Amino acid sequence: MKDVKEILERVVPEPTREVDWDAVLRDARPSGARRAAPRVAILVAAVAFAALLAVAPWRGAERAGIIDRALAAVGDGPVLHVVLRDNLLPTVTLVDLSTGERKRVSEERELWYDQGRGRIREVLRFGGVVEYEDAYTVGPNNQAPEVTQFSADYRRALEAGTARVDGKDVIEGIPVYWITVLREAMTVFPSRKTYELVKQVAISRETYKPVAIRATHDAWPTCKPVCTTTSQRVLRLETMGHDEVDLARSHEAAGDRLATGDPAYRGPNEIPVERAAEILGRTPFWLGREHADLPLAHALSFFFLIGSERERSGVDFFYGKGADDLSTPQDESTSGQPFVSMTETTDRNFAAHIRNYGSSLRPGSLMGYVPPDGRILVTRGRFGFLVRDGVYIRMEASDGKLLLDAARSLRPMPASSAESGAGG
Amino acid sequence: MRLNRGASVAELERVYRADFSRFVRVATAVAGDEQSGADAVHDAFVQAVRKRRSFRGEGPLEAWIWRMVVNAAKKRIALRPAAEAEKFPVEYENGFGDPVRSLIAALPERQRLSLFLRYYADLDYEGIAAALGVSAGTVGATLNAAHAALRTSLKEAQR
Repeated sequence: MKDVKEILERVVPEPTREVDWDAVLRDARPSGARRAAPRVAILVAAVAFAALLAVAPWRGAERAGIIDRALAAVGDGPVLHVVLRDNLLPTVTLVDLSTGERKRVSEERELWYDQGRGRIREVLRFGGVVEYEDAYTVGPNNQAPEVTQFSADYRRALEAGTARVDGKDVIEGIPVYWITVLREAMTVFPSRKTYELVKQVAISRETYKPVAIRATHDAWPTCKPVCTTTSQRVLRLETMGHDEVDLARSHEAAGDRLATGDPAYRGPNEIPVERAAEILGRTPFWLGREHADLPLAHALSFFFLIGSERERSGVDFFYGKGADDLSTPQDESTSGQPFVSMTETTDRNFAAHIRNYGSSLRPGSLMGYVPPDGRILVTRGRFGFLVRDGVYIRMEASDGKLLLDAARSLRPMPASSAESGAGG
Repeated sequence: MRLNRGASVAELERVYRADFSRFVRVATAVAGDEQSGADAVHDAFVQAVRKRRSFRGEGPLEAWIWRMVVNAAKKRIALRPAAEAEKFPVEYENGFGDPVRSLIAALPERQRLSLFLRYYADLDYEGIAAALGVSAGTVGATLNAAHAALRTSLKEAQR
């Protein structure tokens, strides 16, 4: 996210303090005069009060039965096994460009956690294809993922009788009970205003197995009624025995690892459109000199470096009437005007970045999933990613209809300069 | 028996002088103001000098110190006197003065710390992982989540 750095620059400017190593050494001396400990009362930023749970009454035998069944459904094996889909991630859809058929593509996170041995194995799949995997032992340098804490809280609350059934709901067609696992009062500086963080698990009314987890709070004035910080669909949550799982690193993830790190860019520079093939190293795909009354306004080259890889190149095409200022983000410079833009590369490392829309990749990630021929991955309705003849193409349009129309109209740029002419 | 590698005072001084501004900036971001941030860095290095023989050398010295700085800065929040809290310059919760600060402050702690270490300290994933005591994979996922949350929140705030 290129603007995060700019945002953070505004929040905390460069400090003005001078080094004072002598003061460090002076205060580090055992016999030296240590800095006086603050005499003020300690303000604890976050105060958990499980007491709230302690007074939550059970309301009838039915609810007690639900809790008992929920506990039985989790099991008591030593290894936690959970498969999750994060509902807060943007929805990604695979669209067939011929038929318009749509299919949701999700990232699923599967992990096994042997709490007794502190061993974790974690696999991430996108579209069912392994993209990342890791196996490690919890220790000073490796904490267990938050979801394991969530699961432990859930199990503990069920066992201790502090869990509370908080109503019914339907999630993806599955009738559920919401069970409140934990309520924490959090205090925010500087007002010391108290807000409440609530962790809940939805369980199937039929099987009593977890279906979803969520954490909400009401810390901001804009939280109406609450803000959601965690919302995950639980595809599986169970416990198992040691002999049922291998917590060594799996060998599912075949293929070359991607170079990771934020890409370093050089450019963009406006180019005559006939140079695009030379810079890309392959025939680019374009929409001609005009598409849907949108002229080809810019052809650009850019260069990037990821990790220790040598510098690679790519090209951009922009169709629209805005974006005269190349330094201005398209969303702002087009001011609501229709546009289509394409970023093209043959480099799989960079392709993974543009498929993920600027998100940094995890070290060890794989480019496991690419959309099949004739299909485009669509995110947030108007961002697309597809592959044509070895060229990875990221597309963005002012609206989803224009995006799909443009994706269907992509064609190889002719070698002849008669059609390609100077675009910019 | 495994012997600790230990760290010399000279090594600690080198790290202190080389990265002082980055330490103070991250600590300021965590603790809320520059005075508290500078105090936290001071406290962390005092602790590092005292405990230098316990440095095991399993990772970079810098990562060991980053963890101390982050922890010291978090302690500074808890130690902030009530009277001073009223002058707290970073509006952590009201959402009206500078919405960006509020949005960042409302991120889960791990996401917030990962952002600070990535952008103020310029640490790579491994460095952040070592500083926060998580896996590098978790750092990637955490930063992704932080970016996504900020994007969403900023859009909402701009409506």
